[in-house]
Amino acid sequence: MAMGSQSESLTTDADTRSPTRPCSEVSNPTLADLPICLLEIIMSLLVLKDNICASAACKSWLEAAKSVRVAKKNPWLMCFPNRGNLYEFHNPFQWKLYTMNLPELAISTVCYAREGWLLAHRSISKEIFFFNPFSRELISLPKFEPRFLKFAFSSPPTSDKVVVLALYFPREDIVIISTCHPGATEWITGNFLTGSKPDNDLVYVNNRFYCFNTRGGTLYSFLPSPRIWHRHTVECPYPQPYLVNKTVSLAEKKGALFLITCSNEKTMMYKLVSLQWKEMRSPAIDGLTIFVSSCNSELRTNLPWLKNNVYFSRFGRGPKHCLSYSFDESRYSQIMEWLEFCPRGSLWIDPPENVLVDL
Amino acid sequence: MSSNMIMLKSSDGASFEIEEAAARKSKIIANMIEVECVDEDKAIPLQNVTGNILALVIEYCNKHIVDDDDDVATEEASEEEEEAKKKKVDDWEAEFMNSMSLETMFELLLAANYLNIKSLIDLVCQTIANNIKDKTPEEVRKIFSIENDFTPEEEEEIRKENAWAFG
Repeated sequence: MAMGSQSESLTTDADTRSPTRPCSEVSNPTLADLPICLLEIIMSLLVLKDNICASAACKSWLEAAKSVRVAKKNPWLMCFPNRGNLYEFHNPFQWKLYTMNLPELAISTVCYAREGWLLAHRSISKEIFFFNPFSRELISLPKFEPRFLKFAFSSPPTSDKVVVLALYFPREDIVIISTCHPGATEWITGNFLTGSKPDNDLVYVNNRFYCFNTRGGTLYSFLPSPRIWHRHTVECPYPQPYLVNKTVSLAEKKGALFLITCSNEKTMMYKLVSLQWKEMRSPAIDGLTIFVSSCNSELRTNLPWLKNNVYFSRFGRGPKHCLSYSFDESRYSQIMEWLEFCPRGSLWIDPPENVLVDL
Repeated sequence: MSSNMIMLKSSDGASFEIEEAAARKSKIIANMIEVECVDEDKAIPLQNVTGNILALVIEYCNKHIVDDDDDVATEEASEEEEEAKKKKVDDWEAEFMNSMSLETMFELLLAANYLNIKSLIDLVCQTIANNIKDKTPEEVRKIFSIENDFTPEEEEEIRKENAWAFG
């Protein structure tokens, strides 16, 4: 076995060691003197908030703290309070809860989230705005018609291509669509004929907003420019008639559209390929991790320790675990006793940049 | 000396007798035993570890070698027994770490790093991390005697970047 120089020094004959050898380096060490590799271990054991606070102590700590913050991050579950402005942010995999007072969101309804940004509105004052809970940035939009029910946006409001979409169904066969963007003076509204009423969350992919009618299994999309509402001729992937105890979500990743259906028995996942929903079976799930909530769904490919799992915005046994489904084991993390996988009042949100991984 | 006992000698000349199995907790010493660098009659000199710190290292290794033996003997142990045993070790470790000052902790960490004893590195790092938890940067500096080497502008920038964490 190869011996390192460190080991060789251990084999030096004890008698040749000078008794006056200086050992001041080890007699009074302080934490600042620790090798960076040890500082990194310490920093990696801290949750993000403590890591950030510790990083402000001195330069060597900043270096160590930053080096253990990596890009591989899972979304956090943001839970809305019944009253008041205390919002909870759970990282279910670090068993950590942050509570933040966000008066900016007072008496508002959060209706969509994407890339760390929330879209929230107040029906009474007709205000609608973007809000980033971590940087506390707020970007207002022109006042909106409070009858609109579904909302989505295409990209962060700081991007110049962002489109905000609002939908409303005055009748089963008519959809009224409004679009807007930050800096605009008003919403642009139009009526479109539709076959049925989409009922799940909206997803933006490949320049279109997609939505899905759960009962009929029909896929619709809206192209903001030019403004076209389109019914896609894609066959419903699950057998009709539709069962009541089913939760259906759309999600996107790298330009592909996915459909996730959850019943008490199992969760299924489909990918839209050449106008057909193709079922994805384990291991063909491709190491994806899926996070589903009532108003958004997030797909991740860079969380190998959570791969082939679906996480729902519902706490399971104990307040810290989220209900999940494993594609590898074809089972839920616990016996299903409920009808709702993703109750209202919470959504998945990207944590702030520089988040550290749970090592 | 019994055949499975070895001698360790600290930088300040103190000698310690330790079971080979316990000493093997240190990857460095285990390597030396593998390549038969250990002379039965001579102590292994550990030039970077003082006697008082080496005594703590040995106390830790002795405690954990017993636990490892237990693991083998009770492989079929029930979940409750496993939990109870784990709790016993956790309690011992908490008591062990509680009994020392921060200065001793750093010296122990450097020694564990030098001797390459992973579980001891983890234990000390976790204890130090617990001391950082829920503290402001000012408190952290005070506890660990750290000199603030940021300019006011640099520090302001760090605080601004992640204002939410300093609330």
